[in-house]
Amino acid sequence: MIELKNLTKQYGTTEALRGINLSLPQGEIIGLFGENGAGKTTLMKCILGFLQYSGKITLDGEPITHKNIARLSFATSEHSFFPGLTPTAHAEFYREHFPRFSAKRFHGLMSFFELPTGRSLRSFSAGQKNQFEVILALAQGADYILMDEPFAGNDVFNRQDFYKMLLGILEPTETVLLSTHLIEEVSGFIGRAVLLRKGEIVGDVQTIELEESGRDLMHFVKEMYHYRADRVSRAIDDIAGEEK
Amino acid sequence: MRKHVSVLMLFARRTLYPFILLVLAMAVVEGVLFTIAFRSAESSLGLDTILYASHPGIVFAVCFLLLCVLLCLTGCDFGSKQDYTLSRLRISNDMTIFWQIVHNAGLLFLLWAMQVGILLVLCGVYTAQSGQLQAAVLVFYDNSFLHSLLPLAENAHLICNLILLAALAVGTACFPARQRRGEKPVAIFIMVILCVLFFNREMGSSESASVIGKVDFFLSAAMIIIAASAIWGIWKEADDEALS
Repeated sequence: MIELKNLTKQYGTTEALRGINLSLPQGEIIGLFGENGAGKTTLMKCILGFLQYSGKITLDGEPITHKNIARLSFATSEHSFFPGLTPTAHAEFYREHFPRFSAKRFHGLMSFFELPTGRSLRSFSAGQKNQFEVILALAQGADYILMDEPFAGNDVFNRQDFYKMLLGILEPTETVLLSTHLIEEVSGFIGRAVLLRKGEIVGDVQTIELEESGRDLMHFVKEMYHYRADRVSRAIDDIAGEEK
Repeated sequence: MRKHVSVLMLFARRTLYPFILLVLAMAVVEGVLFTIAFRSAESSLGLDTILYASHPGIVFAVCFLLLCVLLCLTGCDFGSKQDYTLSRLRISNDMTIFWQIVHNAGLLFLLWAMQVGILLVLCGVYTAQSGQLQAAVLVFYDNSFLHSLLPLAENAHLICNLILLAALAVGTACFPARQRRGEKPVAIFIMVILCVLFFNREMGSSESASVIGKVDFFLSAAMIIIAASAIWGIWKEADDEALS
């Protein structure tokens, strides 16, 4: 289990994360939601040790270091692969550094997405690069797969295929933490939703609880965000009124 | 050990073909310039004069600059945040940089060896045509560029060259490491300028002081200090961003 205790991150005088307490048990698919600047990416980078922070992050009670970092993988829209290398070269490289790298899953997903294995990543389209980024994260053999807007730039059919594929191939011990703005699209795919707002967790709910209470994820998010449905119409009235 | 070799190969895969092209281009250009100078020269002209007219030093300087650019760009974050992957490997960041230094030193050494080899072949062509068998050895004492490249009789030059090679390997390896962290590394620019300005040393310049020549001493000391500052910059940054 990954545990975050009183996690705080500051960029200069700006507090990006404020005393986050969160547990990520194995085997869950968790959606991480929040508006731009809410702290989703910062949270993931802190877990991965890319950023300094105050508070405590542990993986099964141990701090996350080079010894256990291979249990975490990361797929990001910024991409983390080596653009000059081919997918085959990536597979060879990952096999040496991630002992649980699954060549079967790697090649299976490469075939599914019809990605060429012998061309350098530099020549891939934006969508193909995203697909490859996610393939690497899934094939690494990690227990915790962190995904930060992994499908930015992919079409809706592609994304739907991926969700279905993901549900089919994930082992019961694998955890996915998926940061995205596509709330409605992933609502049927995740088991838990965590909402961040201005660096704080404002909601944490199992989707089954929402179903049982007859609410959907989008309503829950709006509720937690105190979203005012008449906000747009009032603004239009104000603007149009001023002009008249 | 395989994980270390895989990191070394990661860099080698990206530099192998451009390096081969660079060396081939150097050989062709130097060969053509030498042939032109040789054919247009009067039969009485010595090898030193012909080499002087064919400007191998300038060609080598251009190739050296291109190699430095290639080495600096290898591992830089262009289109991908490779540091996210490099930070999660089974070997530490310091080891990754160490292997890049080894790789860079190897290529710089190969460029030097290839340049010496090309010049020996050109000298061989001259001696075969002119019958002056000693000319090839003597020219390495007469021609300042050739003597700087292969200082047969001056250990101070030789030691200085080794320091230049090691310092340049460090500088070019630190460049991408610091670029990936969003810094602007300047050490390698100073190193390259110093090398281009002071590499060409007249024979006997190292005897102006008792142990080591003033130029050699200045150049070696400057390169060591700059290389040390580049490494210190990496370690300082690593401390700031260390995994918790």
